[in-house]
Amino acid sequence: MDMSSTQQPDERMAMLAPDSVRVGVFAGMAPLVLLILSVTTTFVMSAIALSVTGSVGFMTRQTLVIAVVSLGALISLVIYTIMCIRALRQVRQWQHLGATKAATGALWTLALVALLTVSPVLVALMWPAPQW
Amino acid sequence: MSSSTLAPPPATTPAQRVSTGGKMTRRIVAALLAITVLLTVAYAGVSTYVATQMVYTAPQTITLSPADYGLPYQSVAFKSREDNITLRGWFIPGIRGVGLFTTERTIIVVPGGQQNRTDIYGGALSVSVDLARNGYAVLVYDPRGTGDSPVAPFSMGYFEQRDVLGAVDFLRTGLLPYPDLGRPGAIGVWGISTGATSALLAAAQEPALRAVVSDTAATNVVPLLQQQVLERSGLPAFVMPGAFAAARVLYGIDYYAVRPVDVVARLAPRPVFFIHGDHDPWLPASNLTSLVKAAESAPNAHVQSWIVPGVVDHAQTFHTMPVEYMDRVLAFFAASLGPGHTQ
Repeated sequence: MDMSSTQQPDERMAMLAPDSVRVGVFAGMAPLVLLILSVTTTFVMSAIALSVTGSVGFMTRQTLVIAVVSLGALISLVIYTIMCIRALRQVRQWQHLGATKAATGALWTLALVALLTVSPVLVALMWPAPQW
Repeated sequence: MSSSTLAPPPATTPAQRVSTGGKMTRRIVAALLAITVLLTVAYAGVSTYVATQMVYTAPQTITLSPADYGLPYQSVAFKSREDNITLRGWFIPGIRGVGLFTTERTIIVVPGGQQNRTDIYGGALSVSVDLARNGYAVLVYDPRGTGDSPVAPFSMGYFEQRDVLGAVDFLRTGLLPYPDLGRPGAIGVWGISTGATSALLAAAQEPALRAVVSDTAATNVVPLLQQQVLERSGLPAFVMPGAFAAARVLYGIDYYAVRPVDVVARLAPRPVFFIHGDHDPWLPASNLTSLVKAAESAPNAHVQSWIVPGVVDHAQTFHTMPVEYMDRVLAFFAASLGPGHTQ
């Protein structure tokens, strides 16, 4: 076995950014940021689709808008999933390398991201009943 | 020392050993991420499905016409205001006497929600016939998404008010179905249920509508829509905010903006007659009370109201007391627009 391999992890640690909570938070926020960007883009595209198809029949408009929204939702879900997996892999790497502050910061942030992702459902649960 | 002696295993630093606790925490967070995204996706999916069902109108065949009541009429087509949807309907001249017709006072008749121009359930055609026989010309049409008008999402009046405004435009500037009779001198509107909601919203922004009969209108449509959706689907109430949001995104419908109670004060000083069934199972009579109060808050308001006794189904006021109903409506229009037929 190459004795130098024992040096690599420590060398990698040394080459890493400082082990800080802020680094972990940034990594944990990435899935949410990209999710917001992709969902916003989807809304904008659907609004554009609604406005530019004003003169065509309803069925055509509906088909187009549903296609735009469905595609946007699918892309958003894929992006979010990939970014979450990447973030969790980064956390695992940090944990292996002893960067506990960064790993902890990322994990807490990812937990918060999960909470924010489900917040529409929570808001709906708490939405007041409509009154006459 | 022999070269075959194995080197000692590489020393591992404490940092290189991932604690069991850290691994567990990572897995818990991963599970949390997965569960929450699945919940949100499921909620979005259900909300979207509910929204598509809210806007859907089953096709209805038109099986009657004014001719079945011995009345002349012309088939007409006109564009809705703003979005220029071609709507189709009938124009029935008012009967002044044998062989004598008039369009001097014309009533736009707006059917109930998801009903075509005959609206047998709410009585739109029957009311149209009675109005015409008493000297009022009638424009009754298929609101968007119904009858012979194009397919469109049902929006509880949010878009349908544009149909009423298009009817006004047609009467004022469109191709006259009876050119010899000239244009209407005065235009009123009668609407039932969602038709009444559309009529109120349209009248609030169109002064050419000189008198309004609003039968079984809602103060705002969200409670009604929610009640109907939940009763028919059996879903829990918390899906509705998502369904309303989905309707906004997919169809541009803002159900929360359909609030006649917020605009009826603008009708003044034009006369408005609110009618409601005493035991309407979909819309409690308190809706009428609130609408009357809001309308009367305006200076120079002219508001009439009538809670029809013995009504046990939605929007059945005309069918419950047809004779008295028409007596009151005709008296209202005569006072507001003048008598339908020349003395």
